[in-house]
Amino acid sequence: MAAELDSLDVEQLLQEHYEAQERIHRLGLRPLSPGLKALMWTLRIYVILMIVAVAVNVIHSV
Amino acid sequence: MASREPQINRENVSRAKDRLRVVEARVGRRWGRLFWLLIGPGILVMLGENDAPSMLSYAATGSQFGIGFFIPFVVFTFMLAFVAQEITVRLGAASKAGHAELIYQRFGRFWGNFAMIDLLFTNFLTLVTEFVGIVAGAGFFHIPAPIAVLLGLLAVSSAVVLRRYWSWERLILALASFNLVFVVVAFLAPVSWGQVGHAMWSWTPLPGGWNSNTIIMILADIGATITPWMLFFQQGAVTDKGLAQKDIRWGRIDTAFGATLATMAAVGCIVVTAPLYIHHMNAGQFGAAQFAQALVPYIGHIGGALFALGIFDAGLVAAVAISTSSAYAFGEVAHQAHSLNRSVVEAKGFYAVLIGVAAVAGAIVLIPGFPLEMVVIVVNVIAVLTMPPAIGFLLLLANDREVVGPHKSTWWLNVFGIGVGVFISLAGIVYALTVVFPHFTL
Repeated sequence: MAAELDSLDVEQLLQEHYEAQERIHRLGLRPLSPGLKALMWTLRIYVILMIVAVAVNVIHSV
Repeated sequence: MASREPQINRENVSRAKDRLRVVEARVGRRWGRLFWLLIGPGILVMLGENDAPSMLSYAATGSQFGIGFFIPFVVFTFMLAFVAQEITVRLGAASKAGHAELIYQRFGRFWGNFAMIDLLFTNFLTLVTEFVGIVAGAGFFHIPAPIAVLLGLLAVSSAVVLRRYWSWERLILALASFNLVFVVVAFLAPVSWGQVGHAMWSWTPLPGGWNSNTIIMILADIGATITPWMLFFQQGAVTDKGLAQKDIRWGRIDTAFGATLATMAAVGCIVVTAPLYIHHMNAGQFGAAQFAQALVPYIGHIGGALFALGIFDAGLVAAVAISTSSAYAFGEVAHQAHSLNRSVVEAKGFYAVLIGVAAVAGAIVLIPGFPLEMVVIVVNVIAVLTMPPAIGFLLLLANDREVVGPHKSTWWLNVFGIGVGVFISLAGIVYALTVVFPHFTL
């Protein structure tokens, strides 16, 4: 029954969970190509410009 | 890096119990039972996103544009939301890690901090608007604002008492299902369903054409269906629930089911407010649950009460979901316990963020003279504008074989994903053009 689990059951039932956590924990940084870095910076600048646009819109409408 | 030893703690024992029930249902081929056990994160995220500002956006849409272009457009935006949210199911089930954790792990602290600033900024603003909805909905029933805020905080705090992801999820699912009240009230509205059917395939009419008001409404309706917190919440919930890779198909069904229910509620909200457009009511004068009062002549007092209750409930559910999303992200980044299967003593920081952000947002709503209406209008727009980098990280992670393994996005899933990112980015650019050039039209 689900209510009666010993530690062995828990480990067996969560084996996939533990393995995945272990795998992710060991991962390092993903190498970013210059193109990818440029894209990420573009998206970041996009957000900043858009927030400025929202601020301008709010100031105009007040 | 040091190896992590499996721990037998309350969180893992609770999760193991949930997994055992899933295994038993799968072995016994009890598919209905399996569906019941594995649904949750997808429905919660989709109905949670039908939050107070979203329902108010749909209400404004119905009252300003009637039945026409926006009916199929809202259906379309939920399809976009499904494309984005399906990725979080794969990421969560394959990595057993939250979204913030993966961004920091794979892209480093520099980019991770940017993502967190976007998330916490939009989450907090949205949370404020949820309390606006809670207060406004309760206002229809003459419940004072401080009591309404307290009710909201009680709902957020339910996780502390329940101390179990499964119980919390079922309680919030029950609350979230009340979002379908908008479908019920739609049938009370004096509208032609033939016109709704016509709008669905023709995408017309669009009163006023493609002017700046239309573009802002388009952006608000996109923001009503796709926001950064949804990515962080669903991946966190999938991980906390303990979904395995075998369960990804069920996670997709859960997400699609949630999107369908949320679409029905959103369309219902547009339909029920359409009589305000037909009778040339000026929607600009309505804020929050005043919509409910304005609708009473068309759908009766019970209909109006149900509408107000729907707004109240939408705020309540989203306040819980968004606070949880912030708490998951905090726990992942701070490497502290972050599970609803933990007690307050075991996860102090997690619960402090969960309740703390909600308490501050609720308190802001009670400040006399705070420009609540302005925040409600702006919040959905900001949510859309901060989405492109979030979609960027999402797509990079979904194509990272070291993270998702065999569940990496296929080329056609990438086409859809990139399509969503490009569409949202272009919508933002068009919005910016309307700000810089007020007479800009498409």
